[in-house]
Amino acid sequence: MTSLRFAAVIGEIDDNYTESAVKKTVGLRTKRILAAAACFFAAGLVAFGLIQAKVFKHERKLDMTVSIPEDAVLPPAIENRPAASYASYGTAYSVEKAFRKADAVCLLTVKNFITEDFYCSYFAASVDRVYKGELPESIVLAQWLATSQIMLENSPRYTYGDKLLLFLDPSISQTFPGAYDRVGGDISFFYAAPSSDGEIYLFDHKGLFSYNTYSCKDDEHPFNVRNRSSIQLVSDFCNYYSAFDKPIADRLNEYYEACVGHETASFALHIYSLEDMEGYFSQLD
Amino acid sequence: MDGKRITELFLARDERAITEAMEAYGAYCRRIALNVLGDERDAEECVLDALHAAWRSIPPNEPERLGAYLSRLTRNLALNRYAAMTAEKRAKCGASIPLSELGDVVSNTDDPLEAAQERELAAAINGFLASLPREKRDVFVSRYWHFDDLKEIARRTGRTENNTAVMLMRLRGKLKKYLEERGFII
Repeated sequence: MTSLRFAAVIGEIDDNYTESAVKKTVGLRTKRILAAAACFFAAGLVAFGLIQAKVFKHERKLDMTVSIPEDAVLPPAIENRPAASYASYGTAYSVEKAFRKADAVCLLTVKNFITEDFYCSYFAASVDRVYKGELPESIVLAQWLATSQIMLENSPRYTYGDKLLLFLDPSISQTFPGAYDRVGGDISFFYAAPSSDGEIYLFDHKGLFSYNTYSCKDDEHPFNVRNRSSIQLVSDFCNYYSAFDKPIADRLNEYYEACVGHETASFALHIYSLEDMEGYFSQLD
Repeated sequence: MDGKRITELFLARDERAITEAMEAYGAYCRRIALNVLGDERDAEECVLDALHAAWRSIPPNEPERLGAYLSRLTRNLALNRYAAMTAEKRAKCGASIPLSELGDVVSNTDDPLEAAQERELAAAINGFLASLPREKRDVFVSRYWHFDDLKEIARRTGRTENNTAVMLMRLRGKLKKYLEERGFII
């Protein structure tokens, strides 16, 4: 069925719905002010445990609390210097190109380490939000060149609790044929973390994804997502990841130390609001 | 003059029905047509066509809600005109943006056999809309029935444009899943 035909079918919906959508202009602001006041009152009552009020509905928020169970399987520590290490790998994608190239784009949480072969570490991961494609609730996530034998400089192996925004393709690995791997390697993805005021942000830990995006001239949709770097946010992320991912927390601390006392310096760490990025994704086909 | 009274004029074949309907519903219908066609003159012609279509169809039809009846006629005529203009490569911006979003839900292939399931599909879409909270339903209908732009919907609902776009993206995903669960392959 074509989109035009589907739009025509939508034309046959109940008249109550079409009229309701038009009537919203007058009185909506008044209703929202009253709803906000009622919510404030209800919140006070909930604090005393008297009622549970649902004055207006919220969208379900992402749970950013990190709880590492006692039986969590973490990747083994890399004791000796790996046999080989590389600065980076991956194609220089912009965010739009990575989005279009990927079979699926999602926000996920890394769970148990499964195993590693010579090139690749494998993790269980729970999918929190999907922006493109279809994914089950849990997937096997492959991380290339993050093993005891081969690693990339400044690209720590994932660990339990990491929250990542990834552009995924089916992995070429033979160990887990159904696993997913990142499009664009270790430079084309984001870590996610909450700020101290509860908003969720993404950071480009190597800065190269942002650099490639800004450099790209032939994307259809200009990347208009604002860089929100600040010392406070870097500090928030450092505190967040220090609880469970020391290598990333150490990298964040390096950024923090470099920026303290140099507030006017341009930050190498590019930070974006998740909401802004979701809005950008919605523009892409 | 209210819709019931204007409908009585149509039924009595009193030509004042057209001018009264234009005065009562012209602006609303024009907005729908303009959202689809993107051109003032085309939109105006479309509204006039809708009023003449109403004159030819009332009676025998006797709509309970004249406003809804006229807006539906206008929307269908606007989409038909848009389809013809697209074929002639004359279409302006208009409805192209929300139509491409609906590509998330449908396969965009033309299959004549699908015409047979359109009635059931419309009923299923009504069921989906009934399952939504009112605000989300209104946002969906504003975008894909009225073809209002994101800025206007955001202003009306007190949300940001980004937030509205994300809400619509999720609603399209839910609609697709809802229809697939009910056996629709579109």
